[in-house]
Amino acid sequence: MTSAPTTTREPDLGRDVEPDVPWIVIVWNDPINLMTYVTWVFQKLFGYPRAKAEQLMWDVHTKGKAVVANGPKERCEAHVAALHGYGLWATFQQDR
Amino acid sequence: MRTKVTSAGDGGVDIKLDPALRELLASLASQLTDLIDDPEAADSPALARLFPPASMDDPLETLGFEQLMGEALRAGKRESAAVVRATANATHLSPEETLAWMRCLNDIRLVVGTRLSIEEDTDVEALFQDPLTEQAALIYTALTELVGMLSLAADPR
Repeated sequence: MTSAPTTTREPDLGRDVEPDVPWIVIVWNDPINLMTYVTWVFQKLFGYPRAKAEQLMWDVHTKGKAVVANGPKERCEAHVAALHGYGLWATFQQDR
Repeated sequence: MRTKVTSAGDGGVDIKLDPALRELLASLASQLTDLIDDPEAADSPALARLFPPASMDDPLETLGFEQLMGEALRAGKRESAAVVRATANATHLSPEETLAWMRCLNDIRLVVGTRLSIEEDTDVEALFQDPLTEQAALIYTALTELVGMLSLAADPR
């Protein structure tokens, strides 16, 4: 979960950031959120099957963070807002 | 009364809760809304936990995100808290109400946990022994049970 695929990226027009670098959404480990709750949120928000959501949750828990989504900046911003709505600690950045 | 949360046929949940705990949840939901709207609390660790920076290393991105999404995020949390207050005595929650309960109770748990300085290795049992933290630790533990049960019973689809 350290690199994001670049092949699904959509055209990113008219912005002053490096246009060829995709954006990623990272969820960070925190000591309060429950594993069951984090798994549920990944299923609910991204439509991931239970097994994939659980694997992502374990990545967050054991590695300290996991990339949970990638794509154009606007979509990543929307994902971060949704994750903050659920109380998860999420950030977005370009995948340099 | 033992807390019990079970999946309901409509995608929501059936919920059995002690009446005193229901009253407490409604009150905590009100307090959460007050905290979100309290200008004096703007720099508090609890609010920083509810609205974390959207960028790890770029303050401009964080600021832009706050301007773009901040009000909608605050509105969403207020709305979930309002649903919890309105349905605090319900024995059945619709899928939408279940979602609001999970979001709001988790937010309250984040606030209480932050105030208790919960870390990975915190012994919550020990917090019961200290009169200063006993009540918050009881609330935290009740919320842990309830959010855990809701996460297992609620349908994520």
